[in-house]
Amino acid sequence: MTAQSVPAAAQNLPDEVLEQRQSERDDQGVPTGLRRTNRWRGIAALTLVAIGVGVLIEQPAALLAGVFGVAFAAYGEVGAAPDPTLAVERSIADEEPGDGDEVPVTVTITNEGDRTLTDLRVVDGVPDGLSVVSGSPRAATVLRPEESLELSYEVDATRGDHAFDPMVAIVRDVTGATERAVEIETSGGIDCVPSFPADPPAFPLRAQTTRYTGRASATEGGDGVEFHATREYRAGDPLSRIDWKRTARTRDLTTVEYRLERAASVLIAVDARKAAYASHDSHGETTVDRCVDAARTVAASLFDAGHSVGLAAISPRPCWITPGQGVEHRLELTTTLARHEAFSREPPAESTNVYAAGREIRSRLASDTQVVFVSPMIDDAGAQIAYRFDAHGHLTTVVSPDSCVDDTAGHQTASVSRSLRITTTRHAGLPTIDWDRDEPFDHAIIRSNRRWSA
Amino acid sequence: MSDDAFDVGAPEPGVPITAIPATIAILATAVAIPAAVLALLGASLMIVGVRRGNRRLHTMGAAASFAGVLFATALGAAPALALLGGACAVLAWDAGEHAIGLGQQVGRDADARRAVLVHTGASSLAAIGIVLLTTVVYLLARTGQPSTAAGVLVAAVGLFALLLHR
Amino acid sequence: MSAATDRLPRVDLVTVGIGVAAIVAILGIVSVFTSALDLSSLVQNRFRITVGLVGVGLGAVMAKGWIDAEEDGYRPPDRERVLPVSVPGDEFDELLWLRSVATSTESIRYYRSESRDELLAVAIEVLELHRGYSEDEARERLRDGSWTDDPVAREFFQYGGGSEVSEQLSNTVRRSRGSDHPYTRRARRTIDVLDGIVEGER
Repeated sequence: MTAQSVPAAAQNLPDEVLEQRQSERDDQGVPTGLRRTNRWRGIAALTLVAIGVGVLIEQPAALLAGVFGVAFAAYGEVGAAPDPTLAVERSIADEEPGDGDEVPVTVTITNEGDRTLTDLRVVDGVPDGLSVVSGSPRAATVLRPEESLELSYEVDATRGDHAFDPMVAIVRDVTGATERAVEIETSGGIDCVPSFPADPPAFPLRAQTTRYTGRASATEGGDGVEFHATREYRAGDPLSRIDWKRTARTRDLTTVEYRLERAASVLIAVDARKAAYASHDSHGETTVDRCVDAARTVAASLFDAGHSVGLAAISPRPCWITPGQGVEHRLELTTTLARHEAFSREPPAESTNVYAAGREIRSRLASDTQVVFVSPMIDDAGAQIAYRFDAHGHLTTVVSPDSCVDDTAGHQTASVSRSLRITTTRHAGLPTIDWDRDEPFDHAIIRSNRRWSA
Repeated sequence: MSDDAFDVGAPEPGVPITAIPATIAILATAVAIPAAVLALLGASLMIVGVRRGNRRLHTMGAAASFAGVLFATALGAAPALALLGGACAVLAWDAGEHAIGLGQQVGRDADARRAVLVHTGASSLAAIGIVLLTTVVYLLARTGQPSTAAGVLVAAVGLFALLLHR
Repeated sequence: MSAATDRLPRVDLVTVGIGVAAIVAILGIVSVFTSALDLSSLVQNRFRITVGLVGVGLGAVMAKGWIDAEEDGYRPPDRERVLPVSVPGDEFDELLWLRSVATSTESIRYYRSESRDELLAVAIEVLELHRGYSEDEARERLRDGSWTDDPVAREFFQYGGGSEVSEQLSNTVRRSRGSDHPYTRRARRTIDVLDGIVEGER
């Protein structure tokens, strides 16, 4: 949407529409102090009606019924919710789970004050990036001094370093007329760092022939994409490169060699801008999550093929790992993909200037480094980043998770725009892998491989 | 976009704890059929409102129940029944609204038995106290001790005024 | 009965109402049951009926307030689900929604032209990429409607008068019924046609 200022006349929306939008945007913190719930407000109406009726029909019994309205209105004035003193202890079954594991969490809340809490409600601070799959992080009870309440539920672990938010406790007096809300700080978290997949499919890098000066090119075998020849197995060769059919026949281990040159240097650039977070399911995995999964698989595949891999994020929370190899380097990559704030659940607040970000990355790249650009391609700025990398001499391949749906006019329009963008990118000479939502990433790569070698 | 993360209906004991006083109110109005019908309508609205977590529906039901009680007094119900019916209508409203509020904060699946019972217990005690006080005043007036009755009532007014300005 | 440590702000009207109700109730009960304060002689039929009706009327008004009252309890935020994000295309849906709820002619025109321009840009690109037209050709085709057989899609890009003024009333009615605005439906139909071109000629 173009950032034009909306003319004043167009701001004239009906009042209730403006109110509704305002309330949707309000994000209040926990209110402090003693507050009135006003639940007994208005019950005195019963008394007035009863008096009216009683006087009208000359029936004293009606007046008797009406006593309760006034009496309970008074009842609602006598209470004051106490200020609770609570101790919270949380126990997490597995603080370093695998991706997708269901982790049980048990919380014990103890009343450490000397007054009974007659109406206590608690809501545990489940982190933003985790969802509850069974049980409930909420409870309501009565707690005498020294008594405890136990909450148990299970969360679905997703990548990242998730710290628990404070627990919210709401206390009311026994009449329900007043309420106090407090936050109780706690510690504890879940740290999930998914590791590289074991056997990733070969990732199609672009043939880097003319860029090398003085180097032997295509006829020499090595690691890469296109089938070239077989040779005897050497210890350390990736399992996915072994020609198993031949082994079944001859009982020898041979490794398939692909045509391409020596180790390339590849930077995986992930589009983690505010615009790139939009996803088909508001409460499911974001597109950045899928980009991170794709980046991880691509990195695994390239490492296995012997290339040097680096990582960068296009985001107001920038991230940079220079292309390299080795066990420690791989670990740095998986850890950064899991924990860096560039890839966190919460989208960045500011937009990114893509030209500046692209320039910054290019200034740190060697001239023969290839780029794998992982982005949902839902706006033109994303496509621009890819074009500019390519135009400046870094051969670029695009991996694009499809995050669009077509249930409304707007969503359908975004989907059509994205298709156009992918087509244009392909016409511009950048190989693009369009990753459908329903298929595993491995299939998307294999599908593209098949298409390009056909 | 505003679908709920959890079921905001009232938790477990909410429906029966509303249904019981609502039913007693129906019985209290049973002397007059039309009044009992109104009380029955009120009880149904309250139960549905509590089940769905709809405060508006529930309060309308309470108003209908109370109207039924008033209607019964018009058709000749005894003062004792009027007291009972009025108390039960208000208690049913209180229990139901409390359960609805719990549902909004902790959801339908929460185990809120203790909280609901303690809250309703306190309100019931208050109702019993009011019934006793009213009965005492009424009997005093009936047996012809108007000054004592007036004195008790004036004391009640004074206490009430004190509470309001606390 | 403990005193509150903080002083609570008073809601004056309700307090006054409660006070009045209390005094009237007590006087009423007293007057009916005791001879010490005998108001029955003061109360003639008409006066009694008036007082009765006023009581019922006021009570009914207060009762309406009681039924509509919102409770002011604190609602903690959603903890069971992950932090939500937007869906691609939400901004365009917002434009369409604004067009459908706007009441003044200027705002209707503004949102209509904004949303139409967005869709126009997409349509031009679709025709350029999948039909091979140049930009000018594409604009021409969209203007004269020769790019499609679908009548609704054709008319969408042809600037014509809309009955915006008379829409203001039907907007309000439609909003309460919850169905899609015709303009939104037309936009949907148009984008479906464009999608058909993209898919069909892939």
